[in-house]
Order: sequence, then C-alpha cells, then structure tokens
Amino acid sequence: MLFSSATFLFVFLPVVLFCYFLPVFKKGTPESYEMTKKNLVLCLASLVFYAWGEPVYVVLMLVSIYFNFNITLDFQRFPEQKRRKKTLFVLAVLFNLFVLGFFKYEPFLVENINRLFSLHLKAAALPLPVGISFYTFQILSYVIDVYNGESDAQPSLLRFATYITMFPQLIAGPIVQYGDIARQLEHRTVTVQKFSRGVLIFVRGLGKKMIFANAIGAVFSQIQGGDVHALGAVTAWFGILCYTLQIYFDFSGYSDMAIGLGRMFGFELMQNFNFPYTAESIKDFWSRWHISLSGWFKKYVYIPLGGNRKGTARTVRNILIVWTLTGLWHGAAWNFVAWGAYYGLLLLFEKYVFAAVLEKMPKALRHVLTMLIVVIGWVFFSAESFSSAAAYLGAMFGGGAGFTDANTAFLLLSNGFPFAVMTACALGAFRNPPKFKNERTHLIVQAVGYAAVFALCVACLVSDSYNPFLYFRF
Amino acid sequence: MKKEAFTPASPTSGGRKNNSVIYLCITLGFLLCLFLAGAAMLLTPDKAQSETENRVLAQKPKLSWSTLTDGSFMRDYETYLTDQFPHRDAWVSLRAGISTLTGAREQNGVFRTKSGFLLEKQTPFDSSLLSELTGAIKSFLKKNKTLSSAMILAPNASLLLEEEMPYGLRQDDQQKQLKDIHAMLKGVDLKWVSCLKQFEGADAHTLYYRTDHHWTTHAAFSAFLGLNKAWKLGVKAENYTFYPVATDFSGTLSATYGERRLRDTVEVCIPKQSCGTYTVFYEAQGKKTATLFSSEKLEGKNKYEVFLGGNFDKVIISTTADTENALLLFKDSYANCLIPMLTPYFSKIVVIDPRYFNDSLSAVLEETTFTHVLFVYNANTFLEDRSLAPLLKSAN
Repeated sequence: MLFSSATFLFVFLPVVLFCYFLPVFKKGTPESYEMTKKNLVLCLASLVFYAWGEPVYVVLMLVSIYFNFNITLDFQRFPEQKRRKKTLFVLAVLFNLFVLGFFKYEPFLVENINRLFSLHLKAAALPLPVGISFYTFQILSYVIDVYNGESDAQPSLLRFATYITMFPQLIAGPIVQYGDIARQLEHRTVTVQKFSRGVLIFVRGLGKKMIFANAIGAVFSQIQGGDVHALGAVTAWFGILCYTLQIYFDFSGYSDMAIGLGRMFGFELMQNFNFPYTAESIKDFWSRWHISLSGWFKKYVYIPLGGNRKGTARTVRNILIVWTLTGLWHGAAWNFVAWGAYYGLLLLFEKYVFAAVLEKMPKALRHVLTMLIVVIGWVFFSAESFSSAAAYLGAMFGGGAGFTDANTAFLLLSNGFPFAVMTACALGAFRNPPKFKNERTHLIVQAVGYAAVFALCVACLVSDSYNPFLYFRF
Repeated sequence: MKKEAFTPASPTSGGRKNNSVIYLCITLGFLLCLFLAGAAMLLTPDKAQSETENRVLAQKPKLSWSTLTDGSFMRDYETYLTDQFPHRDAWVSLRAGISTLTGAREQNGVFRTKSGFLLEKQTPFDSSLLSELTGAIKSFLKKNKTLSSAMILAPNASLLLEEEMPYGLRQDDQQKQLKDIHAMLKGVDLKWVSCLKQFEGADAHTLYYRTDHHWTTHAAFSAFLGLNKAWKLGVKAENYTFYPVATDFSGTLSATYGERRLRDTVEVCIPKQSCGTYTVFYEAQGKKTATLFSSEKLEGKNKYEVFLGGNFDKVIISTTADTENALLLFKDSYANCLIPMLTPYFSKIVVIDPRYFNDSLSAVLEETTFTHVLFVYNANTFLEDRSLAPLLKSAN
C-alpha cells in the first residue's frame, strides 16, 4: 500500500488510528499491557499494509523475522561459547544477504555470468519484494548490534516484529537502526501536541509527493519517453533537472510522511533529508541525502573494513567498496553500479586532490559544481540501462537534435513557473519562513496552510493518473 | 503554496495553554477529514458511470483467492475508491484550476485556446498505417467499379484554429496530412470532398463544439453541400432546417480538461417533411425506429449521441425517396449528424462503423445492390484507424 493512495488515507489509516488509541484497559493497568496492545495493533496493521502490496512476499518477511529473532536470542543464551556465537552470527548474516541477493540480484548475476561465459542459464527472475532492501538492512543492523553487544537481544517477538514491520518506514525508509528505537518499543507516549506535529509533517510529505514530485515527474517522463535522438540539449537539461526535483521531493516526501506517521504513533524517527541541494561538496551532499542509508553503510561496512585508519590505500579501497555497494543497493543494474562508483571516485578526488582548491573557491561556485555533479549523476540513476543513460547524456551535450527541439519552447513555457517554485523550495529558499511575532498566529497560519495543501493532495489523488512509486528497484 | 521548512517549535514553548487549543484543532481536524471522507466513501451509493467524464466508473472489485494473491484486488480497489470518491468532479476541477493557474496549458492531452475552445492534439502521420488503409480503399473500389464513391475527411478543430493554439506547441501540419492522404488515394475514381474548401468564409468557431471533439451540424452541412457538388444530388439548401435541441452540452473534452463552465448548443439539421420519411433498423440490437435522433440522449451527459443514438456497428435506413440509389456508408462518429441530410437522396442507406462491425462485409454487399459508397471520417480518427482496412480487405 502506498501512503499516497485513497485506500491508505481514508480506509487503512483511520481504522488503524482508531484501534491504536482505543482504550481497552481500565485505569491502573500496568503500562506494559497498554504497550503490548499498541504494538500488537501496529504490527498486525503493518502486516496488512505490506500484504496489500505484496500478498505473497509477506510470508517471506515473516520467516525472516522469526529466523532472525531466534538466532539473535541464541547469541545471548550462550555468551561464553564464542565460537558457537560467531558461527550463528555468520549464519544469520549470510541468510539475510542470501535472501536479499536471491530476490534482488539473482537475475542480474545470471545475466552477467551468461554474458561472461556465453552461457544460457535461466534466471528465476522473481518480482522484487517491495521494501526488501530497507527491512533487510534494519534486520542486519539489529543482528550486528546484538552480536557486538551494543544492544541487548529483544526478548519479545512482538516487539521485534513491530520494529521490522513498522508500516510508516517499511517500504521507503528511513532505515531505522535498532539502537535508536529499542527503548521506544517498550515505552512511548503520544500527546496532542506531538500528534499534531506529526500531522503537519505528514501533510508536508504528502504535498511534496503528490503536488510537487508527481507534477514535475510527469514532465520528465514525457521528455525521457520520447526519442532520444530528437532531444535538444535544452530540453534534455530541463528534463534531467525535472527529475532532480522529482526524486528529491518524492523521496524526502516519503521520509516526511514516515516521520509524521511515526510521531502520530509515538515514535521519533531520524531525519532523512536535510536540504541536500544546498550542499557545497559531494561529501556535504551525502551527509544531507538519505542520511539513514549513508549512516548505515558507514557504521556497518566502512568502519568494519577499517575506515580511514589504516592508511591511504586501504581508505581508497574502502571508499570504493562502500560506494559501489551503495550504487548496487539502489538497483541491480550496471547503471546503478556506475552511479555509485561515480560518487566513490568523486569523493576520493574531492578528498585527496581537490580539497585545497575547493577551500579557496567561492561558496556559490562550490554549490554550482556540486549540483552539476549531482544532476549528471541522476542521468545514470534515472535511466533504464547504462546505454540509455549514455544516450541521454549525449543529448544533453548536443548529441541529439542540437541545441533545441520542436517542443522546447512549449515545455519551458508550460512548466516554467512550477519548476521555478520547486527549485526555490529545494534550494531552501523557504527554509526559514518569516515568523509572526505571535507564536500563536504563526501556528494558525501554518495549520491553515497545511489544510490547503491537504485539500490539494486529495484533488491530485482523485484526478491524477500519474502517481508512481519510484523505489521498486531498491 | 507549501512552506518548505517547518521547524517544530522547541519543546519548552509547546506546552503553553493558548497553543494547546490549536494543536487540538489540528489533530481533530485531521482525524475528522480521514474519518468523514472514509465514511462518506463507504456510505455513498456507487455510480455506474460518470456523467461529466462520459465513462464507466470502476466498481467494487470481487474478492477471491486469486485476485487477492495476484494483487489485482488491491489495485482495483484503489481505482474503485478514487473513481467513486465523493464529489469527484469538484476535486477534478479544483486540480485543473490550480494547474491552469500555475501556467499549465495542457490537461490530459487537451489544450485550451485563447477564445476558450478546447482542442485535442492532432494525430501524427503514420505512413505505413496509412498506405495500408488507402491501399485497402483503392482495391475495394477497383473491385466494385460500379459504385460511385466519395470521401469526406473532416479536418479537426486544431487545424482551423491553428493560430489560437498555445505558443510553442508544435504538431504535424494536418493540412499537409490531408493532402498526402488525397495523393495516396489517386488512381481510383474517388470523389474527394475538400472540407477546407467548403469551410472557406465560415467562422471557424461555428464549425466545432467548444467542449467536444466533434464538428457542429453546420460544419457537417457544409461538407454535405460539397458532396452534393461531387455527386450532383440536386440538393436545395432551403429544404433544410436547423433546430437547436440542447443549449447545455458540455462535451468529452470538457471532462478531460476539467472545465465545468463552458456550454455548447446542439442543433439538428433535417430535410423538410415533403422530402419523405424513413425507418431506421439497428440490426444487431433488433431495434426499429422512425427517427434518426434519440431525444432521450439529450437528458444525459453526452448530447452528441442524440444523432443516431451513438455509434452502432450497422444501421439500415430505408426511406420513401423515389430513387434507385442505395448508399453504403463507412464512418466514424463525425458522420452521425450528417446522415439525416442524406435521406432524401437514397432509398436505402447502410451505415457501417468498422470499429464495431464484426460481421461479413461480403454479405452486406450481396444483400443490397449499392450504387454509391461514401467514407466519412475525421482526420484524427482516420490517421490511427486500424479497423477499416481489414474490413475492406475481407470483402472479396
């Protein structure tokens, strides 16, 4: 189920909220009873939520939860048997990687083996379970933390299942690390203030997705869908800039919705985007874009590999490994690998070659350069394959239909205004809106504004046919 | 507009009494929206079709093990909810209004001109499709040499209102398309009725509906007069009268565009009583009537269906006209308002809409000794037609 659907907003969410807050215990009942009931509602709701989109793969998720729950309990049961613990740990990690690998990378692997050895192996090519990359990473963070002794194993299957399945962040993140949320699984409160904050953040995210991302995304898919040889350079640039806006508003919109929904249920989830398009270096960009993913790779891959503590050669190796994997995480295809490696190389370049120059550069220039790199990166990310990315890139530099094409003027005129508004938003122009002196007035204006946004979202929901989910390949 | 940055107030300031009312309002307002909309969706009775959009609406999907496991139930359920959403029309026009305000000049492939006309984009020229189609027409005419043949290929509104199209919009030149098709049809004795010539001098705004993709009855009459010249039918214009039958027609382009205010007038054009009477037989439907108009369609949304009652596979019109002439008519919906004008000149008219006709054309040809064959299409439909060529080829 998607957040931006009528089924979610007007059937699923009201029913879940009702059940979640329905008081069933008398006053004076221990809090743990209340939490158990709330977790149970949330967990069951999340399973329905997942099964709505993946009626078959929900079983896979349940198996995965049950397996990981038991194996981590075993770590703790026999802490003195180090070898046994290690064996179990390796088994758990392999199991999770195998599940992810089988469903996500098997067809890609088979295709490349065939190409390499001129074989004709058949790939199983099962459809990719939605959100598998997100929840597998959450499970891995848990297994590793428990193994390292950073967290205690969760003794309650219900709480563990709630952590993994929690529908607000299940299918598009943020990737919640177990340590950040362990306490909240046992103890959390919802106040009216917290809930209303959650509502505002949720509506903001919904607006980003429904009003901004879908509208500008339709422009891009129109441009990308045409013949690349008939594409003028201006149109090609305009198209990829539209995609740049789409992916940001879409993805950060999903994260906002997750954070907002989380708050309605009493959770505090981490911020996942922090105005990435205001970044002044590649490193800066990645500390602002999909923060929970970069944080995950840093903690569970980069640092265990030795990070930057074992000399330059090792650091270079580690950075390249991490970024190739980051690329691969986003999709099993060469264009994603290229996209990841592109960032890895640029980060190395920035770190070892360009650092001194970068420091002397004016801020504005650094910003423009960073965005140029990011935008070109999206060409690889948005393409179906490596070759179509290359063709599009060619068109951006005049290899298509020259400077402009027949549609350029019409596209710019029709979409210029929304494009400008969205660009200004993405660049953080309204990051700190003028505050009214009276905090109360400020809140009221905000509430009315968000009510209008919500109404418009409903209008889009009802009338638009273009409402894509971009993360099916993640 | 949306505020991009929303910074939660610091926790210390939040607890103040005067703000807690607002928090409560936000919370209750949101919950009320969800619950009320949810309840309204479940409680309002489902509609079979949308009057405004002129289409069948999705109904509640059937729940079964197979629709559940393949996910089709869930997908259909979402379509069902949005199709049956309370006050759907109002939401759609809110959406269209906002997007027009932000400079969008196209909604779902429909454009609005400065004079308030809604126009469809022209169909691009597909030469392989068209050479097959024109080839089929030519070989059909060669095989049926005794038939006098003519073609009315109506241009679309976007050609006549070209200078009003949004700035910068490039599309194929339909005038050239028509010329090319005419050239491709050379080599047989097919009379080509040039609508553009017939339309000369007329105000383009009277030739098409503002809210619909069809031509008006006036435009059809101009084309009919062109046919008269080609076939020397001896039509007297004064024998025809125009009657307005509806003034509140809001066509399919309105619905697609999300425009709700524009209204058009529908007129019918009929020959005087003295020109004879006729009966109309809808063969597949087994329906016989004495009129080419369905006045009950004027109560509904798509008032263009007043002509012939809409599109049917095969309609047989028998008239009291004192002539041996019998007409075979291949057509799309543009012909529907033109057919009543033909009745005084043919004793029998067989109307075939190849998009719906699945029977044998040879049988039709054997049944009646035709003297004339006429093709009436609009350019957009003709350029993407895939049903006429196989039908004509089937008649050997």
